[in-house]
Amino acid sequence: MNEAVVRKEGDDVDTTTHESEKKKYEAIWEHPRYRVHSPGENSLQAFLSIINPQPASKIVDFGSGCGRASLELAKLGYQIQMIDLTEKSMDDEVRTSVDNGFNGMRFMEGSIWDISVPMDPLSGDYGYCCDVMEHIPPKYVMQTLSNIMMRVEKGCFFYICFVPDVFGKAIGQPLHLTVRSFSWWKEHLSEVGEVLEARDLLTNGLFYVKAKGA
Amino acid sequence: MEQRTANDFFRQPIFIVSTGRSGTSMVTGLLNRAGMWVGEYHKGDRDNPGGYFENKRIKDGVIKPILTFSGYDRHGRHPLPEETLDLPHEEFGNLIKAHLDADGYQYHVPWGFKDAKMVLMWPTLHKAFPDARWVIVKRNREDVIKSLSRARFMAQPMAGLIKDDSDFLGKWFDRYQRGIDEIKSCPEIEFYEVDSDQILSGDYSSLLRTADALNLRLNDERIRNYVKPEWWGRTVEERSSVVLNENGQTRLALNMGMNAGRGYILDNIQTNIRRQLPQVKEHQINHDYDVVLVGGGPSLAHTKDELKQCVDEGKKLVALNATHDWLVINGFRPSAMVMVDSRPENARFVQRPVKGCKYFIASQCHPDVFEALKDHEVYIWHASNGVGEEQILEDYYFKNFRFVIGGSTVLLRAIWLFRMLGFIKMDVFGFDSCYMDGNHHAYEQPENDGCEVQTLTCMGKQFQCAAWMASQFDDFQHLIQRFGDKFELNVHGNGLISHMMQEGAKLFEQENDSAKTATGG
Repeated sequence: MNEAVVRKEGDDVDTTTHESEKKKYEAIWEHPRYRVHSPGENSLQAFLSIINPQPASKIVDFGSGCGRASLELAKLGYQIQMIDLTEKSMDDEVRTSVDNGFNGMRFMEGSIWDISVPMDPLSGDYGYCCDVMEHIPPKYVMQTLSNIMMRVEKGCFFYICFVPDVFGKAIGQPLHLTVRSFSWWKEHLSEVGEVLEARDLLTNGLFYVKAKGA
Repeated sequence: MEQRTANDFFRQPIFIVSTGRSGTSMVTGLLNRAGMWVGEYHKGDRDNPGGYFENKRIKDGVIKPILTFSGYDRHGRHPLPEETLDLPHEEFGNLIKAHLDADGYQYHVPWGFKDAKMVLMWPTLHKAFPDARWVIVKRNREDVIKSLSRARFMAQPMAGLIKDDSDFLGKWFDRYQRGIDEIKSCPEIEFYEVDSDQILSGDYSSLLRTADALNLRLNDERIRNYVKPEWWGRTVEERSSVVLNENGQTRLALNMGMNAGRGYILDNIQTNIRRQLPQVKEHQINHDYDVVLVGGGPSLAHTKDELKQCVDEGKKLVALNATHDWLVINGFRPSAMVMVDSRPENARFVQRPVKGCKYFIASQCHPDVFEALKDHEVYIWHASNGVGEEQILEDYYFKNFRFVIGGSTVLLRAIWLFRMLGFIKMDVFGFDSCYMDGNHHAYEQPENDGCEVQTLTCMGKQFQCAAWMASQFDDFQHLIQRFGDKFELNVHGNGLISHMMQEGAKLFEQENDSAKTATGG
């Protein structure tokens, strides 16, 4: 099927990878320049124009990073649940909003491939997963996709980069661990749901995957 | 809509600038045809056959004196001001108005002035006309320098300096470019950029956008009828090496690549981009394989042995349109196939797709083509025809797409497409651009039957050509002249294109030998 390993519920979590990845992102988020550019924030318009979510829908921001996309969505009235490897990723304004419970915004620290993350509250109508999948270790790609699609009622929007990152050299480690083509991602996404949208944007791609049974 | 007064028109000129030899005359000429007043200008000559379009009175009465009185060369050649000239501006507005009056300007349409030298003194003009709109015409540095080295106004008077300093023209370009960059970084200036190479390749988008913003009336047809690459892309000496017997006729089929109406093409694009296909994108240079582009010209039938030899050498075959099936029937296996034509009947070319073959299909092709290939490896690419496709693609791909330029036929586009994919060396078969033994193709292609035939003379030999062949020939010369250093083509067969390349190579060798003899080398 593919080179990624599909992990089943109950399998042990690879804590070595989890911990090492967490440390890596704690280090990278220390660099102020890393949070200047937010693909998640930049993809919001595409998400809203393509998906057009119902008002007040529950949206899970998988790999929420600096959290600016989440905050924008919360300001638009959506109910936002965020998850990221480290809470250090959040911008100050986002952290304050979460701390104050702005429009019900919540943040959970954890890895998306770690299925020990409880189903509730980490589930929603839609998933928003931008600039995340290429960061996942290859062996956890399919597990991550399965986890995401399991937790969304309607579908998930993905924005994925197809080329190596440029910022990893700041910490001496690559950030994009799964660098694959548009066709590769489309094929793998089609294994976890129906790919309703797939646009090759040259170095990135956007996909909307409908949840099975939705 | 608010009525504009004479004073409004006066205060809001259009200034057209560039680094020189960049197509500003062409762009100004087009804006002039779109309704911009330019006044009396120098008509065409060897360096600029289409005309200069720079107002004589303003150039001679304002721009040149500014340079002269500041101690620099009035022609803007050498010496040039190191610092951009920023002079008291009070008088310039009145001075220019006097020249406009003398030239008969009626102040009821926008007026424009073109002169590259303005970049050396732009703050002076900006203060005199703070509401001016600036049009910046772009062309790459290398081509500008090449053109400058041939232009009489520069090459002859500056011969000594060019000889003493091999980078004289490069420095000259850089000084003008610095002025352009300053204009672009001035927050108070409203500017628009137009790419002259894009215009010559048939992509009018930047020009149309600019004209629209300037409230000028320009459309594809008007541009197409006006733009003659042979005027703007080369000198008369270079043109005279190829004699076309019917002036203008060679451009008849400029956009043959479209082969269909505008709305039809746009409908195809709208449908096809939604097929979730990977786009063709730029690749690094491929050092592992060379490719063979297989066109359908009549010489293909006589060059099978050469084609087989290419395959034996490990080169990859790229079929174009109907040569896909021709290759299969003749025992060859295409590695890739390219199609650009939007007509529905072209779906017949892909009724027998080959497993493992990569299909590079233009987004403007008929949806039936994509349907026939739905179980095969298909890449979508976009031909630029300037018919409104850019907006559709920008909207859908959020501006992330590349146009493949190249010319009027699938073969010309394929050269660019495969260059984009990283291939430098290309053997080309069936690329004749002429009839041979009365045949237009190596196989039956009824769409091309009954075309009007014209005689075309190239370097002492006569060829019979349909309009689309002459257009392809013309486009190919343009492609080689502009971008010939970016790929290596080996054209097989004995058609018009092959003849031109062989004779051109001989001429080049003779010139080299003469130069060596003259210098004692």
